Amino acid sequence: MVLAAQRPILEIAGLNKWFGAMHALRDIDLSITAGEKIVVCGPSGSGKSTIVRCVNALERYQTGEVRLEGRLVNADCDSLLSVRREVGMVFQSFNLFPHLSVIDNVTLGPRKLLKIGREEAEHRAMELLARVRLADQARKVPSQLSGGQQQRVAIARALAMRPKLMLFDEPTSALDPEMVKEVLDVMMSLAHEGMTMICVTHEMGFARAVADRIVFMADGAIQETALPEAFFCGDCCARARQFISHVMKERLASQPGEP
Amino acid sequence: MSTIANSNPTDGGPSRYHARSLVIWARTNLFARPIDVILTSGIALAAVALIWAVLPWAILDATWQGSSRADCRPDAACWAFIINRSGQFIYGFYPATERWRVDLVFLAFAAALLVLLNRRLAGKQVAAAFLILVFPFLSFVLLHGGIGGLPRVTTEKWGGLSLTILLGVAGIVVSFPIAIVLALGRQSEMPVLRWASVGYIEICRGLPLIAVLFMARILLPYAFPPGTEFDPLALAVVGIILFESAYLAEVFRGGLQAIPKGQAEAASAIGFGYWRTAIYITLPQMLRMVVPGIVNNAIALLKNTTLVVILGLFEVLNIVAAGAADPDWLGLHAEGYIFVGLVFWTLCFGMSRYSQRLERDMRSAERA
Repeated sequence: MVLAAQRPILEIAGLNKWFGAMHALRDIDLSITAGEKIVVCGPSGSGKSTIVRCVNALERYQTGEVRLEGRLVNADCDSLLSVRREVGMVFQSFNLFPHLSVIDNVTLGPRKLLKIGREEAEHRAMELLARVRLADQARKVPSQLSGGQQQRVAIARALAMRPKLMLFDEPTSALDPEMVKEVLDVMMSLAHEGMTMICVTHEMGFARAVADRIVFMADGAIQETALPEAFFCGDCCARARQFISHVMKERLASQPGEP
Repeated sequence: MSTIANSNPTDGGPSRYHARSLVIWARTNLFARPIDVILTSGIALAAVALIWAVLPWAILDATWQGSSRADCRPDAACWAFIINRSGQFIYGFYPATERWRVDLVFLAFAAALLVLLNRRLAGKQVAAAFLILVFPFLSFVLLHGGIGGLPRVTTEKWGGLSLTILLGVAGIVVSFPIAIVLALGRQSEMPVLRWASVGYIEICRGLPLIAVLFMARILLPYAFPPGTEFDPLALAVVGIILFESAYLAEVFRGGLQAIPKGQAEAASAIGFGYWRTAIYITLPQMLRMVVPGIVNNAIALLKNTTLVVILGLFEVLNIVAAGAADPDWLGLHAEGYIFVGLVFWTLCFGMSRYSQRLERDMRSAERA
């Protein structure tokens, strides 16, 4: 049992990706066991988003491999669609379906892919919407919701597929500062419930609170993998320290009211 | 100040208030400056003069009843011609006892359209499936007959306004699925599919419809053994569909390109493959976006159907023109063309107004 639990749910080995001549990912090795939460951070253009987009093959990669529970994930494999069903993803720009109501956004995947009946799918969707505290908005369309509400619907939509792994690609970067917290709260409660998560984020408070490991990236390569305590105590490479102080300064600048 | 006082609804009765606000509106919009006064009165005078000149001919002295040109006043319109021949103008040479079949087809079409376009009625998917999959065959069987005791009515007897609408509807309804496939094909990652779609669209879009119809009539027989006969109506419908599907495909492609990339990515991330993404995510959003383009194409197509005269078909314009060459009604071209103009204008204006309402409804649906 112990051995089974420690077998990684996701293994990334020797991953390399080029956008044309640009070497976007260099020899990435990363593995995650079930229940683990990883925060990926680093300066923009460092390849953080590209990693999570390779995990469900939204991006093609050239060498190396990504395996979910031992199954190879790439853009050409037959099992790609079934792998994607097991990996939830939350985007920076929410990407809710604007022509569908909130509840239909959440139930579409379960109804069409998991072949769950409308009634049961809606019942489960309402539970999920209650979990992200949006049960009263179920019949609205996305354009009537605030950014924070839309992102919480997007989280519910991803959870509706009962994923084994959740990917967050800068989920709060497109939000107004006052809405960041409501999304982070939902993510934190998800983390406490034991969801396996990879989060690309600059929210260092969130990273400190939930991350089991922090992956610091720059120039397409993993520069540092550290425990949060070590990472925030300056026990890491110089570039990471520079990045942390830069992010902290920005936080302070954007929230002049807080000391 | 006076505006504020006058816009008070308690000032006088409601009708008085209405009349007053009309005066205020005219004062601020039509007679505000001297140049406005000159323009307004000039245009009003011109309009009155035009009506004064046309009214006696068109209405006051016009003849509404009669059995030949001799019954009409020579110096005024002879609407008796239109009224006398209205059956032919609507149904062509379709036998009078079988005209109920034409009525039935249009009733079925109108009912399906009503369900499809009225937001309050349920069953949109059934209506769309009926319209695209069942209706073309059903209407052909019903109009052509020869099965189940229905007398056969060959296509050269079809004509008039019903033929015009038939060509327009067939052109849009049959082109619709073809155009969706072409638009998706044009964006496909498979090169052969993409090239085939691009080639088809660019060739058919680069030809005028009149050239397509000429080729169908003159070139097609050379490609087949001598003596092969083609039904002119079938040639017209095929020509129109070739032409229209290329145009609609470009309208649809424009809509598909306007959908943010994140939509397809979000669908992929849930686990939707190519077809599910198209059916549930991209196509519904695209179709909402391109309603004005579809209506624009439908209006253009309806007017283009007059070109089937090249194949010897008598749609509404040609049958009216032919009617004016009838010895009984010789020379009544003006009345005929005014009638046809009004018919086309009414149909096109109706479509245009409907599309405006549809757009407004959809905008408020995405907001409300």
